[in-house]
Amino acid sequence: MNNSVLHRANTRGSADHGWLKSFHTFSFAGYYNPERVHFGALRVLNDDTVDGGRGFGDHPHDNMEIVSIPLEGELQHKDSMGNIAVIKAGEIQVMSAGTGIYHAEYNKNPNEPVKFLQIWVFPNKRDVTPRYDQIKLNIDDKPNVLHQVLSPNPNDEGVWVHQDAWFHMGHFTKGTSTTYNLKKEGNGIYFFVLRGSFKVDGQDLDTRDGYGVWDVQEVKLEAGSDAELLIMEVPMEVRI
Amino acid sequence: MNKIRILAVGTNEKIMQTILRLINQNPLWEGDIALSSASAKNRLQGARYDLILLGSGSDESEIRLILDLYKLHIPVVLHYGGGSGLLIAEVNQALRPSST
Repeated sequence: MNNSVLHRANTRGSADHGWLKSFHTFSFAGYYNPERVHFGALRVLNDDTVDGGRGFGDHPHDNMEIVSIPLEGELQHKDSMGNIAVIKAGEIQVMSAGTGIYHAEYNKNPNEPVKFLQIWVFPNKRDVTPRYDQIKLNIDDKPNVLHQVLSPNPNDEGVWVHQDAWFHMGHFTKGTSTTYNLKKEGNGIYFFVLRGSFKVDGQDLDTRDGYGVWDVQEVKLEAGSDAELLIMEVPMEVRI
Repeated sequence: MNKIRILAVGTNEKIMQTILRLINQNPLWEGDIALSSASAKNRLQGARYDLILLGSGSDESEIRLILDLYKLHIPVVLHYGGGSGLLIAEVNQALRPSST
């Protein structure tokens, strides 16, 4: 198909800094692959594991929508807006870097690793006022459906960002199926399997595989095992 | 071999200093910063650059007017903060033969 891109888990870039082990779906830091720089407005999808007590010291960003989704453990957050918070598995954090922020993210637990996804989305407007938010998700309460965890709308379900992007997550039992319906014309959809196996639009995917499609209105999903999925719908036309 | 010369433009001085430090950490790159369009104009008048990075607060239309004024054909790319982890990809993408 010429309206899809497949990123197998074992083809991702990787970095091992001792305290940090990271897999990069798209070019990041020392990993540069001109064929894998972004999927539309989705610029970063990092799959990070940080040793106990270690983390990312104070560092800046601007003009990026930054989403963190802890998968295991707890992450201590501190930023230049005065926010000090802890996020853990089952929650989602968002920052609009806008005119500029500094932040630090540390593993709160001194002995256990924390695993989380770092997802960066290009914003649809520059130099907005920086903001931070985090919310608890209730995905486990209702399996076999997709839960919206991010949207462009402050009053909608999940956190919100300065972009016409929608994220969904779901936990599915083997053999269950559903359909993802596109939210906005011109957007593409990137599927990232958190655990287990899925058939997405006829494509078999396993843990940490990524699969992007565009020029579609709906995509059929079927769990090949008990499995968890993250879906990121983003605009495909972006200025970078 | 000539270093790649990068001018980073933005108004957040603390972030711009971080960007400058990161640029100059790379042995193949050499950077300057401009905290305003006027400062960028002075820089562009007096030195050769291969790439312009636009950080927060910068005015792209003003920078492009300056480039037109001096008849300079320099790639202009958006940047996203000094700690972004995107710098290498931004520079490499902008300076690929098909990108210029």
